[in-house]
Amino acid sequence: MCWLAVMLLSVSLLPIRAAGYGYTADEVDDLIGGIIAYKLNVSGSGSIQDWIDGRLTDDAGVMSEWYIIALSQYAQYDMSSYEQALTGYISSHNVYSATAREKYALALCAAGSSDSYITDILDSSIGEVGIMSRIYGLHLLSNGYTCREHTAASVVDELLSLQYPDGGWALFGEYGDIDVTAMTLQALAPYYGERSDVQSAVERGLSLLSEKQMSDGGYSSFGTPNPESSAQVLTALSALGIDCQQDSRFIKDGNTIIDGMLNYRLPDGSYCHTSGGGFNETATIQAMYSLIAYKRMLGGQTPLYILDNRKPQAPHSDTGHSEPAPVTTKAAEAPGAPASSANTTASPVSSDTTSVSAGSAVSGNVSATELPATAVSSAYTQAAGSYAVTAASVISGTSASSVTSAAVIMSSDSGSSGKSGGYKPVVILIIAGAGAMLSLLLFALGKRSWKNFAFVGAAAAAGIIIVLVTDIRSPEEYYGSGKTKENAVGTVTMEIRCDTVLGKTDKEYIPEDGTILPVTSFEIEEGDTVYDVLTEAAQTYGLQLENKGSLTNLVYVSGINYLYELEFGELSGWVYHVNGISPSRGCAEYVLSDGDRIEWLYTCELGRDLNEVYE
Amino acid sequence: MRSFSEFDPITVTLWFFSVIGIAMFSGHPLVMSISLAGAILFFIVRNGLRHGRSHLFFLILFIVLALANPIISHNGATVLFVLNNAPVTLEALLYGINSAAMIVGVLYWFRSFTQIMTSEKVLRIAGAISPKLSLILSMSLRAVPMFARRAKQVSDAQKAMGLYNDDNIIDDLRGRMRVFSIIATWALENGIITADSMTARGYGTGRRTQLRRFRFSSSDAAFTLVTLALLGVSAAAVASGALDFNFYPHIEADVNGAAGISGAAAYGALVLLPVIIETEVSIRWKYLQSRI
Repeated sequence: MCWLAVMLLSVSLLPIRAAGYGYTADEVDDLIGGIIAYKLNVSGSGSIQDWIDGRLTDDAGVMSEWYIIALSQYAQYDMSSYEQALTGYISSHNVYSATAREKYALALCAAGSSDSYITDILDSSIGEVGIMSRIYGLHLLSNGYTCREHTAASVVDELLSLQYPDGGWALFGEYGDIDVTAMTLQALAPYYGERSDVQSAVERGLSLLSEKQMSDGGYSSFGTPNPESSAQVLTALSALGIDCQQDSRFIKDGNTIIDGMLNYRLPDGSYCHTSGGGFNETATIQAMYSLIAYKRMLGGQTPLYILDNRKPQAPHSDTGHSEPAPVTTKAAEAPGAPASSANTTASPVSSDTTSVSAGSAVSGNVSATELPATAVSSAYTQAAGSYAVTAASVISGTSASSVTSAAVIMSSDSGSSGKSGGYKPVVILIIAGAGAMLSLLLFALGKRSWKNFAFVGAAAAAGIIIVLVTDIRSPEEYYGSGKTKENAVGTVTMEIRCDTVLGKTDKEYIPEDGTILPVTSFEIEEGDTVYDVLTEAAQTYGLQLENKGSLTNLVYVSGINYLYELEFGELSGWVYHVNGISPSRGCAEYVLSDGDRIEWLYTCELGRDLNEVYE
Repeated sequence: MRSFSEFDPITVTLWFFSVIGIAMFSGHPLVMSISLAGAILFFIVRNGLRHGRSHLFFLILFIVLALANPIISHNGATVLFVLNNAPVTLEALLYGINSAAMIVGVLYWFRSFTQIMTSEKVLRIAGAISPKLSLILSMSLRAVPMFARRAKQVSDAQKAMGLYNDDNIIDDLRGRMRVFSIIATWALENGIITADSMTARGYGTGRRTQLRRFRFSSSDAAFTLVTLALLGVSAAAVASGALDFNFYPHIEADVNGAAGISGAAAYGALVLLPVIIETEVSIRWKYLQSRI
């Protein structure tokens, strides 16, 4: 059976080999296998099933979710132990973040659960924190789950309305962000063939992604080249049925997105976040599921986020739920597939995909799981028969959720608008008017000593000075409005991490992977200090920031992103490193120069847990 | 039954410190509101609607304390507006209101405490513990009213000499500053002289005797037992975390547990105990008068 499947597979993949470059489905499978082998090795599991029942079940609700979603789409496993663990985790924890609730719902769905949690959370989650909750929510709706207040059509409308003029999407700011754009495309993919407005929006998003691709095939986010952005784009393209190794828009200097992503592959099979770095959980899991998404696209299976194990309840007839149309994918409809290569790609879904998918699942180099091929066949047949899959849609990894939590601060709806300081003339007039009224009153009461009027005048002047030196802005005006620097003298990068507290707390504001701000580039002007860059980052990316003594250059940063000093013992707090060295100066005294690398790190032991090198 | 202020000083002190202790160690808004409302009610029940200036002072203090926190602390997820690069958040404002309620509530309690616990009663308790402590307490308890009287004298003398000009704000303020400066100088000198004088008279050398006799009666015992029982319930709720309240970064209340509800209810009953006694006593007094 296995042999037959491999043969079927290689036959269907002949066109790729003929193209002369790129990775075959087998090689892609090897790459996925490499990641799984690495994780098995690290977690000390003998097989994937061991891994699911062991480490992944133990970490349910903490960090297993993306692996579970990826594995459930990779092959068929028994995930009942994980399902039980996650159900227990959810019932014993208050999950405040909408995106986290949706992530748990997706993981439950992937584990084959029919728990009502999946549909229960939809109404309270979609639209809650901004774009990410809509993206995740739409994935669930695309899987056939329903809720009262939203339909797939309404969420799609909302997502389309959030598109920026440049064709992209982002959490905030004015320009599309690679990751968020790719994730939005993943969510919109199932509706590409159905709605012409989705089609044109997706095409504009694709042009942006094509334009931003770097010459090595990869992408950068927040100014830093990284594999996660490439993984998201690869997943999005696979969801849309575009073969990234065939479409000329996504091949730069002969390099594909997969080439770009593999630049970050470490010898042990895992992935790093930045070139030359060590193992990174987020990079590894995102690489894993993007490759799975790609492989599923080659095999004609459902998109990554149209889950094989989904068990939606029968939708109510009165909800007006727009159910995705039946499978209609044809080569001609595959978006972005150039006409010349459309008939040679392996991407279109054909009638014999069932056997191909079964074959590819079993032929993986981790076939130790003894998976019956028939199980996959039947699972897929059921999937293809009931719901629409123009292409796959994939949900982004943990780094996205950490950025989302940073954006919580901007959640309140904008009520006031207008330019900064527009209120000042009014307030000054009120103060002056009150002073005049008071003087008149004193005059009328007969207290006509000139000193009385001098006192009122001085008080009014003090009030006006306070109004002039303070600057009140609404959060909508303040956050997301990056400064434009006219006289930039260089670029620095900054990263904010709190790895030292991971596992010590379940506070929702602490990101799962410890990244509060990924490595991000900032332009500096002459004389800019570390503190100036931190303030700018807080403003641009909506990070909460607390300092003491900001009126002088003696600034002490006591809290970032709600994580405060002294929360983890009396030796805990924020420290900063520049180029890996701990300066012995305050952060508002450290003047930066071009190319400096700033890290803000949370320490629990006065820096002893950070490998500090002193100035 | 006696009026609450006529109970044994030990009973009264235990009750006050229970009420104030719970108010200070629990940060829960429910407990804070009970404490503040109870303190104001108790003060009004005892004093009627006099002391308008005290109420005004406490109101201003409350507003200043409530507004100070959001300006100093920038924790919290719901940003109201941004003041010179620093976010002013709803959570910080609510936290400020909560701590202002605690501080003002405790100040009201101490206000009533000093009214009830005259220096004689304080000495009855402190004298039993240490003669030295009793000396220091009796001196410091006497200090504030003495300064007020002295300030009035100095101010009158200044006016009589024509130095105190109060027909305009600036001169009025300067005059008050001068009086304050005179009082401060006099207080330093007076403190040394008083201490020497009292040592010379043999204060603080032995056990102090009282003019009045205090008797720990059965109603004192009953009141103490009820106080301890209610204190136990609410202290257990505070210690077990049933009355925890998280303001940052999102407001998370946790009062739903039975322990939390019973703790808050016990605290409410504890706070109302003397009010009930005072009301009962005053009704009985009026009833008895009406029969004459």
